[in-house]
Amino acid sequence: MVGMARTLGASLVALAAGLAVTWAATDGFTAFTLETARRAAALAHPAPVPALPLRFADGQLRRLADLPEQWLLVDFVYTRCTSLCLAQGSADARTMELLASEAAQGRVALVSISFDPDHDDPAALRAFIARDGAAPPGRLAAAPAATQDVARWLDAFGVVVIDDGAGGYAHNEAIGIVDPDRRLVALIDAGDPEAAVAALRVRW
Amino acid sequence: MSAYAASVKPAPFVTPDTPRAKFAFQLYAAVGISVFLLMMVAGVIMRAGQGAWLGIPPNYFYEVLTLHGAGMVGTAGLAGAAVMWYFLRRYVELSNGAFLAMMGLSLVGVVLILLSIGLGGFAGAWTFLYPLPGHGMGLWGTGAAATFMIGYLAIGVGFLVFYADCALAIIRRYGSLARGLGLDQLISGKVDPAHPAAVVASTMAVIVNVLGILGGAIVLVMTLVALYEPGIAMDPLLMKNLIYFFGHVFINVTIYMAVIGVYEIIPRYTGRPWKVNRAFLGSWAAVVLLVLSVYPHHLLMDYAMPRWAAAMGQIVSYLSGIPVILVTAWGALVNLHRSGAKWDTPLRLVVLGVFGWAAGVIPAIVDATIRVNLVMHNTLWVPGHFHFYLLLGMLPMVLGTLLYACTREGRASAPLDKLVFWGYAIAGVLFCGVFLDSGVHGIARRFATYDAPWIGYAQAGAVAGTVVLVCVLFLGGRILARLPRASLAA
Amino acid sequence: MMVHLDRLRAVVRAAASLTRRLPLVSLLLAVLLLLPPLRAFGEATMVRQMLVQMPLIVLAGWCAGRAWVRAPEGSRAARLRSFADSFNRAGATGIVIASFTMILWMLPRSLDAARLSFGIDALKFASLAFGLGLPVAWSWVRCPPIARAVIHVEVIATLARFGWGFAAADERLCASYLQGDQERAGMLLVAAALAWAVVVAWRPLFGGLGGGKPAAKADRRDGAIA
Repeated sequence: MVGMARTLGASLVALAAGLAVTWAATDGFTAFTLETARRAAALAHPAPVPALPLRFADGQLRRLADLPEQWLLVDFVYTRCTSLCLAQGSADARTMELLASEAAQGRVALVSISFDPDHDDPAALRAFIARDGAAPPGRLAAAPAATQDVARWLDAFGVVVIDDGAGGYAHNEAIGIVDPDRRLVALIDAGDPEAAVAALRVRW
Repeated sequence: MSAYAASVKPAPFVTPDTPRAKFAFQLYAAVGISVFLLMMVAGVIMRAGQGAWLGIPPNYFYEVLTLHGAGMVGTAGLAGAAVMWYFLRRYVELSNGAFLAMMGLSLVGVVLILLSIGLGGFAGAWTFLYPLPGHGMGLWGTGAAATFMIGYLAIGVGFLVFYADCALAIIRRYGSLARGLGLDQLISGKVDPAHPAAVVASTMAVIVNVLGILGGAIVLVMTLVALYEPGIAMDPLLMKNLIYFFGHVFINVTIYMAVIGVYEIIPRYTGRPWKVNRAFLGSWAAVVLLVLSVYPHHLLMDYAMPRWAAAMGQIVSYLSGIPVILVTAWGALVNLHRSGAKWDTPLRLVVLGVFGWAAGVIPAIVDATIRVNLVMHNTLWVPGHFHFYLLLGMLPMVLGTLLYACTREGRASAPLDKLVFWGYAIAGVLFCGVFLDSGVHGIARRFATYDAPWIGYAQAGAVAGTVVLVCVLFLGGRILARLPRASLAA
Repeated sequence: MMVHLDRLRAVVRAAASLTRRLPLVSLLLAVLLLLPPLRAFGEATMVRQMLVQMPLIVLAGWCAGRAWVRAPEGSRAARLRSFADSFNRAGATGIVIASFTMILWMLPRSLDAARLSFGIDALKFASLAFGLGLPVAWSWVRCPPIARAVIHVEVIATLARFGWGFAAADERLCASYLQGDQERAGMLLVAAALAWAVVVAWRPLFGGLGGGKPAAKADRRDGAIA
C-alpha cells in the first residue's frame, strides 16, 4: 500500500513536472517550432536591433539607428541566391509598391541585410536591389561591415542559415518590422507583402 | 427454474463469477440504457426541430447533432463491448479491472465531450471532419474543439485497455489471435464444431478495432496539432480517409460485438448448440479484412480519391455485407426452425436484431453503389442506412442480451411486453423508413431547418422516433428494474 | 581439444565481461557522440538526429537501466533501486517520465534547439539517456501486460503522428533542416511506426505469448471447453 501511495504521488509529480517542462519549452503550448517562437518573442518582448555598422549599397557605413526613416522593414538575403529569393525579391518589390507614397515621404525603408558580406560588396548589393529595374526610394540593401558581426545580426532576428546542399543557403524567411526606437517589434511572413504592410500601418 | 431451461450444456465458466464482475455488468447496463435513452431524446428533439414543432436555433441543433452522434457511437461501443464481455468471459479469463477501466476512461471522455459541447459550444459533428474543428466561426473556440478531441482520446484509451485484456485472455487460452479466430482450423480443414462462436467474433472485434482506434488516435492528435499549429497544413483527404477508417470501423464493430448475443442466446432457447463450420470461420476471417477496407464508400464523392479506392469501396461494401450476415441469419434460421423454442421478449429482440442487420445491408449496399451515391450522397438515405443497422440490428441485440441476463429466474411475462416489442419493431422500421424515403426524395442530411416540402417527413420521423423512445423507455425500465437480479451465468 | 575448449571459454568470458560493462561502454559511447565532430555529424540532418543519434542515446540509457535492474542483490545500486521501486509500482512513474521525454525531443523546436545550442544538446543527451532509456528499462519489466499493449499502441501512434506531421508540413518546421530532409525523416518515422506495429503484433496474432504452450496449459485448467 505504501508503494501504491508513493507511486501515485510520484506519477502525479512526474506528470506535473512533464506538463510544466512542456509548457515552458513551448511557451505555454503555443510555439512548437523555432519560427513560431521567434515571432511570438518579437511581439511580446521587442528587443533592440544590433547597433553595429552596416555597409550600404552606396558604400557608406551606417547603423540602422542612423537611417532617417521612422519605420524599417528588414529581411535577410544573400545576393547570389537563385531559388526562393527570386520570389522574395518580387515580394519585396510588391511591398515597396504598396508603400510607395510613405517611402517617397521618407517615412519607411525596406532594408535587405546580407549574411554573406564577403561576397556581397556594395556593387553586388546595388545590382541586387536594382534587379527589377531602378531601385525605388526607400529600397536599401546592406551587409555587416565585419564578417564576424553576421552571427549577431542573425541572432538578433532569430535567423538560422544553413547549407542548402546545392551550393547556396537556406534560411527561415520573415520580414522584421523595426520601430522608430529601432526595436524589432514583429516578424511577418516573407511571402505576404499585404500582411507586412498591414502590420506596419496598424503601428504608425 | 426457468421455463426455458436450455437443454444446451451451459458454457463452462472460466472467469470467476464475483460480486465485482456482477457490479461491472450492472454498471454497463445502467449507463448504457440511460445514455441510449438520453441520446434518443436528443434525436427526437432534432427531428421535431426539423419538423418545425420545436424552435431550435441552428447552432443548438448542431450541438445536439454532435452530442447525439458522439454519444450514440460511444454508447454503442460500450454496450457492444458489454455483450462481448458477458459471453467471452465464459471461455477466457477476463479481468474486471480492465472492463471497469474502459468505463472509467469513457466517463472521463464523456465529461470532456459534454464540456466541449455544453460550455464550449463545439458543434463540429461526431466525425470532427478536418478542418472544421479549427473553424468554429465564433461558435466555438480552439479550446472546445481540443477538449472534444481529448475526450475521444480518453475513450479510445479505455477501449484499448479492454481489447488488450481480451486479446491477452484469448492468446492465453488459444495460443494466438489467429487461433482464436479459427484460422488454423480453416487452413487445416479440421474444424472443431465446439470452438465458441463468441471467441471467433471477439477476436475479430479485437483485431479490427485496435487498428481502428490506432487510426483514430493518430488522426485525433493530428487534428489537435492542426488546431494549435496552423502552419502544418494537413492533407484534408488523408485526414478524411483516416477519420472514416476509424469511424466506420468503430461503429461497425459494435454490431460485430453485439452479434455474439445472437450466437449465445438463440441456442439456449432451441437446445441446439451453435456449431461453427468452415463457412462460419471463413466469413469471420474475411470480414476482418473487409471491415478494414470498406470505409472508402464514404468517400465516393471525393473526386480526388484514386478511382481504385472508390471501386474498392463499392466492391468491398457488397462483399462485406454478405458473408457474416449470411452465415448468421442462415444459422439463426436453421437453429430456430422447428426447434419449438418458446418465444419471449429477449429472443424476439435478438431475432429482430438479426433481421435488422440482414435487412440493413440492403440500404447500405444501395448507397455504396457509386451510381446511386452520385444522387444519394449526403441525403437522409445515409442516416437511414445506419439507423437501420443500429436501431434495428445492434440495439435489439444489446437489449435482448441485457434482458436475457436479467430475466432468467422467476420472470412473469406480461402481455404488454409483446405489444412494446412490436411497437419498437414497427416504429423503428417506420423511423428508418422515413429517413430512407427522405433520402430518395433528395432531402439533405444535417440540415437544421427544413423547407416546407420537407417538414412532413421530419414530423413523421419525430412521431415514429417518439414511439421508439417510449418503447425503449419501457424495455430499459424493465431491464433496470430487474438489474439487481442480473445473472452472469444466464 | 582441451586447448580449444579453454580458448573458447576465455572468449566467452571476455564477451560476458564486456556485456557486463556494456552499460558503461554504451554511456561512454553516448558521451562521445556529444563531442563536436560526432555531434555535428549526428545532427547534420534531421534523419540522422531523429533516427540515428537519438535512438543510440536512448539505447545507451536503456543498457544502463538494465544493468541497474539486474544489479546483484545487496549492492548499493540494488538497494537504491528497491527504494526507487517503491515509487514505481507497475512502472507507472517511469513510463510517465519516458513519455514526456520522448514527445518533448520530437518537437521541431527541440530539434532546432539541440542543434543550435550545445548546452541544450547536452541536456538532450542526459534526458534521453536517463529520462527515456533508463526509465523504460527500469519500468517496462514491471508494467502489466495490458499497460504494455496500450503503450505499444501509443508509441506507434506517436511515431506516426510526428512522421505524418513532418512529411505533411509544406514549410520547414526546423530552421536547421531542409524541407526534403524533413519529409524523409517524416516518412522514415511513419515506416518505423509500421515496422513497430508489425513486430509487436506478429506474436499475438500468430505466435502466442512466449514461454511454453499456453493453449495446453489452459486446456488442463478448463478442459471442458476443448
